[in-house]
Amino acid sequence: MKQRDDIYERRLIWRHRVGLCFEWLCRLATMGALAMLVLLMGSIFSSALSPGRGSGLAPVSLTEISKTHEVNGNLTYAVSKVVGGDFCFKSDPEEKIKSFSSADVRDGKVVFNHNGKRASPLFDLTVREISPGKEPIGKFKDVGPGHIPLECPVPDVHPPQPAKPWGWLTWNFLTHGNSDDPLQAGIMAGFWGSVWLVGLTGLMVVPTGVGAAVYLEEYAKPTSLTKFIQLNIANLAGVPSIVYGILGFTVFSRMFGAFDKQETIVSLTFLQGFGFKPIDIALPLGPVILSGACTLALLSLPVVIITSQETLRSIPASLRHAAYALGATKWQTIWHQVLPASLPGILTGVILSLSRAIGEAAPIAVIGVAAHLSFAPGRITGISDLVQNPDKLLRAPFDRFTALPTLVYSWVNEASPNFEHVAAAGIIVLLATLLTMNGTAIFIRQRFQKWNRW
Amino acid sequence: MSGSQNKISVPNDGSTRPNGAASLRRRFSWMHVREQAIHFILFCCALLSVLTTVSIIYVLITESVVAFPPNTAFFQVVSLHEFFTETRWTPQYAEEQQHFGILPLVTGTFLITGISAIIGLPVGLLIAIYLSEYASPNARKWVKPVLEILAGIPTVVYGFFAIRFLTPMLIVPIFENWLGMTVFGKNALAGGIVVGLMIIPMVASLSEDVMRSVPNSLRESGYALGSTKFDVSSRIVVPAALSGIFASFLLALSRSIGETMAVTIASAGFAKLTLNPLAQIQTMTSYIVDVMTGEVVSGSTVEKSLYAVALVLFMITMVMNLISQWVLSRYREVYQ
Repeated sequence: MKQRDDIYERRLIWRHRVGLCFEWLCRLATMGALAMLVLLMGSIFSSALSPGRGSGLAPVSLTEISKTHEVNGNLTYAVSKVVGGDFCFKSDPEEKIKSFSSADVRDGKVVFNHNGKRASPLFDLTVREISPGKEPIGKFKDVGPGHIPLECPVPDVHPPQPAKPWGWLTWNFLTHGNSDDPLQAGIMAGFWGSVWLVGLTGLMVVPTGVGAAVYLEEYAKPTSLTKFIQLNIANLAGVPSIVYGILGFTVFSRMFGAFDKQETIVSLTFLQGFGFKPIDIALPLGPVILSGACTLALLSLPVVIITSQETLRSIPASLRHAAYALGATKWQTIWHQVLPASLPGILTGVILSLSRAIGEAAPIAVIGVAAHLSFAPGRITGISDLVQNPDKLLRAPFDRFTALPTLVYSWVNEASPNFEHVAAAGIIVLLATLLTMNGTAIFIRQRFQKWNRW
Repeated sequence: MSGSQNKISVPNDGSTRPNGAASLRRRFSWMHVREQAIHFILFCCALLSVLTTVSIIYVLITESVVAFPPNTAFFQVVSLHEFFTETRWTPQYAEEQQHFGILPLVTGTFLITGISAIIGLPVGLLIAIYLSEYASPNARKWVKPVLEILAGIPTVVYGFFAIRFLTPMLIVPIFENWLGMTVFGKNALAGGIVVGLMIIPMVASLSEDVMRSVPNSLRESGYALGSTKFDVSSRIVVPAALSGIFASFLLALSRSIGETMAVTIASAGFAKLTLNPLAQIQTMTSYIVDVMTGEVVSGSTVEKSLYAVALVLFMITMVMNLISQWVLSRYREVYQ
């Protein structure tokens, strides 16, 4: 008997130990997820704040050499940039770089290496600045393989970047458009593109989304059609964003191929009545803000409907009954009682779903948005410009654009190593935008919760 | 309410009916019209979601299965048999060397999904158990918003994290320098890990919801019989919430199948039939992005192949979503 008790006790102790281990495993998993978040943020900030490869020894990427012209069989290659020792070469796919694999800038000289040894290029190489008319700053003659390695003085085109407290997140970065040069690239065009995108998406998705939610919660009877719509919405919320991108590309950007290449032009002359200049819109729309916003609106519609429905469901029935008892019609009850009461919840849901939409790069990239634009939509340069030409505001939705996540995507994919830091700085701007939006949503939720009357 | 809208006063038209009934007769009133119009407009808003689904299906079908006569659809050029059995996906080659076999893309997608499932599902479930069974209300108050932050980070950011941090700082030192394997600059492992990170908050919050809706009486009866906390959570709560957990797993997997940008940045390169997680792969989503961000000839087979791939993607995710919706609704019926 005693032995049996012993076994039971031992088992009990073991179960207890297993339980403790399991509890700590759960804690560890939670900690791990949080640690990953810290790691992610850390890697972004350290990359954005690091000085980058602005000076001293720098490898030259030979993947980007471009053949500029050919005279008497002599090939001249242009180095598009000499930036603090960091070269960008443009490459012609047909031309093979045979004799060297990398190059260093050392003591103001370019040294070409092949497999770790010094090498000379097999062709004439002219290093010059990208801007035309400038004198070449160095020349390499074709001396054939096995000859003395070539060295070439490189003048200091851009002085080495001094260490800045904000690293790559400079004022210059925030106020300039995109550029091929990592030191000149900025995020301004992407930021305003995203602002326009979110504004238009919100304008489209709020009335339709809230309207659909009101219909489903207040009007619809539990018929099979309602059930189908409900199931359909839940299903749409799980469709990959890239499928919406394909939809947006076909319907809004390409318009089913019904029009020839941007040749059909619709002129909005009725705007003259409002004192604006008429706007010419080329059909199909192409990758303009309007088609991007329509795509994102379809993408965020199911989420807005679902969150609005949840909010409407939480409004007590007594509120509606009181309004009906006073003789209000259904719409009067909804418009004057139910919607104001559910406004904070709906707004929170809308802002959160819009902040999801702003970070989506896939649908925007698929409709054909380019990253290299360097102007804000509608070429609006400032408030004074907007006051002088108010019709730019109407023209902007029909202008080509680029967005924050698109820029980040293109920078991450750039070969030049300095773009890593630019991408990190861009990510910080993107996250700051999202944080502002989410902060607003949380503020609204906290602020208006006190007003609830039940 | 304005006075003009109050038209329920009884008309004295000398009819034989009692006056009370006259007010109940349907009569024309602008207010009624307005109510009906609003009802109709709201109904149209609700129908918009159905219209979205219909247009997605229409676009995908007309470009890939049957097209209107002047155009040809993808499956009229490439046979279904080739599409599902061919093991090469080489649309970038010249016409005669083009092969459209979706197997490499599907393998790539499921490689990413598998890696993300190995990482995301258990961790998400453990976090859910911690949140619903072990965590103090105070800890829950802190952990949940942080998980929401993790869920709200754009996918390009995860892609950056994978290619600039995970691959050079974690995967290359471990697998290349230590174990001596060849690691590609873009590899499926990095993409799978970040997608796994992405689905953790989703699994955690959905599973936690279903676990918390398990009635407390079940837990209490377990404790009354002398169970430990571990017994209760592993033998009562998790089995009771199993269908809900299954649904959250399915939703998470369908999310990781449809995940695009992080995978494109971290793993996507050349489409090859491989299960090596350290090699470049191509997924269905990243193929679409790759083609669309480059030059694509309008009306070419390559462009149509996008729609075929998107159709397969749409079907897979839709089936998974439908199953998980069905399981979740069954679960709600049981416990609510």
